[in-house]
Amino acid sequence: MLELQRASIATSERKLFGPLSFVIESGEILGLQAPSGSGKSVLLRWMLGALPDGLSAEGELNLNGERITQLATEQRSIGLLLQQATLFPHLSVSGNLLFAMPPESDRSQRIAQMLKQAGLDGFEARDPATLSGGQQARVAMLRALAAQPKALLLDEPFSSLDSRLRGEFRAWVFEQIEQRQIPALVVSHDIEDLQQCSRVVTLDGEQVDV
Amino acid sequence: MILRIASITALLFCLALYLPIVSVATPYIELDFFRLATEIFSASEFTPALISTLVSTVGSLIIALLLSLLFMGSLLLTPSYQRFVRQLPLLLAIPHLAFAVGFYLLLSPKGWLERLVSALGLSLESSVWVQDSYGLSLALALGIKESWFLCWMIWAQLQQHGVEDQFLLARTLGYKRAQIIWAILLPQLLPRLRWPLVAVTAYSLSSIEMAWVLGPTHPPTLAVLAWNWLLDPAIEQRQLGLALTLILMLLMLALSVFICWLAELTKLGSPSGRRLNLSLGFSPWLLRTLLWGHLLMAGLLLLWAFTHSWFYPDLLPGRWSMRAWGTLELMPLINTLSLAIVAALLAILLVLLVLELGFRSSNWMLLPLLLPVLPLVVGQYHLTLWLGLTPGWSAVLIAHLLWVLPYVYLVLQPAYRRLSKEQLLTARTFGVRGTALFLRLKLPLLTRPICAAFALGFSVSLAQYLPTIFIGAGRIETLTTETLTQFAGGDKRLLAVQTLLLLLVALSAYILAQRLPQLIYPNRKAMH
Repeated sequence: MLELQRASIATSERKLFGPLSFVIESGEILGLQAPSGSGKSVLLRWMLGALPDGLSAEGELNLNGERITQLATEQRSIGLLLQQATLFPHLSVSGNLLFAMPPESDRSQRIAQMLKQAGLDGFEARDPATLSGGQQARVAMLRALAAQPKALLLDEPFSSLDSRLRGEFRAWVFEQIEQRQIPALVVSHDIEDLQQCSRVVTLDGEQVDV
Repeated sequence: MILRIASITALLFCLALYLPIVSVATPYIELDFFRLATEIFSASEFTPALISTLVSTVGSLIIALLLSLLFMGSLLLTPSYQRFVRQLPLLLAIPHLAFAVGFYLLLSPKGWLERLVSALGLSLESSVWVQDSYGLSLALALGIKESWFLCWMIWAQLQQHGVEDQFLLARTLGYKRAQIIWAILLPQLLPRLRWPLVAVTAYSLSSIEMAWVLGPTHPPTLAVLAWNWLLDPAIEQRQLGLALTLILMLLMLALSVFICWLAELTKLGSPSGRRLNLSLGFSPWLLRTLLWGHLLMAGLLLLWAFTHSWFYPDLLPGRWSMRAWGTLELMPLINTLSLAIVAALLAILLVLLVLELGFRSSNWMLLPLLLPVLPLVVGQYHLTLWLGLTPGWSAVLIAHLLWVLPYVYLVLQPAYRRLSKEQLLTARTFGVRGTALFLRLKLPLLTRPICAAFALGFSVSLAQYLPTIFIGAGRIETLTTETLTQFAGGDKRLLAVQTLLLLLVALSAYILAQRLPQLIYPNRKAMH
């Protein structure tokens, strides 16, 4: 369960939003609807412990009952999926997944299995730059999941894909989240993305019906 | 059309300025290199000079790379990151020579550190701190000074290739900063930092000013040795100097190949997935220490500049005096300012006009940064002789431009490439084209990078020693040449006054360049 309590973020000149509170249950996908430039990506960065320079934040973040507001990014166990796949270009597809996966004995087998399930069978040695946008997005999602996060934040994860791929990829991502029963927050201004979420809130904390 | 003609003229002028690179081999054609090289290799000074040169060059490269990766990697995605990046141009603007003199006043025998240690009731083996025979102190000083340049280069790379996002993602995957620097930053940055690293190597290898102040003296580094021989009245000795500059160039070639090979070595094996508990907690402390060290060095210059007498082991001067300021002469200041202002402005104009030609790459303009200074100066000297140029202000200006141009290009080229294509297209739909587009849209949009390029170009010209002395035949005195004269003189008060003036001029240009966009566009926040 991911719980945000009275979070507000401000620049030196004005308040961006807040106080914002919500709870995301395990396996639930919460949509966050907000117009561009309103500070929704900033909220995700703060939830990850990487607030950009020039901003100040207040509020608390709890994950599975544990307060994580003061923890460093790497200690929070929160995965991230960005609009761009942002794969590590110097590593192969399997290198990207191996980087994320904790050390265990059958990593190669697990990677082969994950890639197969994602429709990327035999892509282990591929250079990320040679993949299509949709394939890169799938590898990015697999990478985020390979680290076994306890929650997932998705920042406009589908907006770089064309409409056909978008629907397919969204369904696959949401299925992965439900299978793993982790709380997920999807930031988007696309009405179709938000319609597929369990529920949707705005930066004012209002629950909206999309 | 006018712009096109001006651009082609600028290109031809730049090519003419770069002739010393093409003609760099000319002085060596008639040289009996193998005989001279045998003589050099058998000279008693050669081996220790080679060792100190390699130690200071390779050492400074390693120190600069480690420090820059450490600082940028530990600050990235923290509130201090932008603050540090904003300070970088200020640190870059500090002339190498001023930094070296400050370092010397702090760490030389009976320097301030030794006084401080003595005041604490401890003792220090001070002789190893500067001018050590292996060039370690020179390596440290060069490494610290060049680390700011590499930080700046890394910052430019981090902005371009989404590496910042990769850094954040790696952290969300549970990795600490030290491991991300090693596994994510280094493999991607090192191949892109190849040429900046070669530039750092070229500077360290052929630095005369810093080696003079901080390097070993008996024998000095190879560059200083070559310089001393080139100035010798005996022809045979001058030929040895010439042959030694060729050896320096071969050394540079070998080091460049090594750097390129190193950059390719970063292909790591499969990641193990182990999250190591490596802390970079010491990094902010180290950075703060270095920044305070810079301030301390500036403070020491200030103290010495107003000293009448300062006996060891006192921490502060016993008596104060303004007498040293009376020795300052106006001509070096006028020469410095006029050369630096004209060189920087001319370089900005030339680079912008060359960029206007729209070539896919004009990176040949960076070539002077990748070659040791000494052979280039020798090339310039032979070219001026061949052209029959009289040693003087104009010849020195042309000589300075060879180093000012690449640095100005380094700042302006990425900014020019980043000009919004949409804005330019919009302007064209209004019928604004060619010269009007350049003057009314591109130049205003480039105000900030032009000011930054001016500050950097100014400080590069200000720092030139070898071209000023060699091409000016010693007739053109600048603050840099005067500072080295005062260093040779040994009076720390006169040295401090001269260095302080050098530092003040460099920093004033930087502050002016920082403030200028705000003065030109007081109500346009995006232009600041």
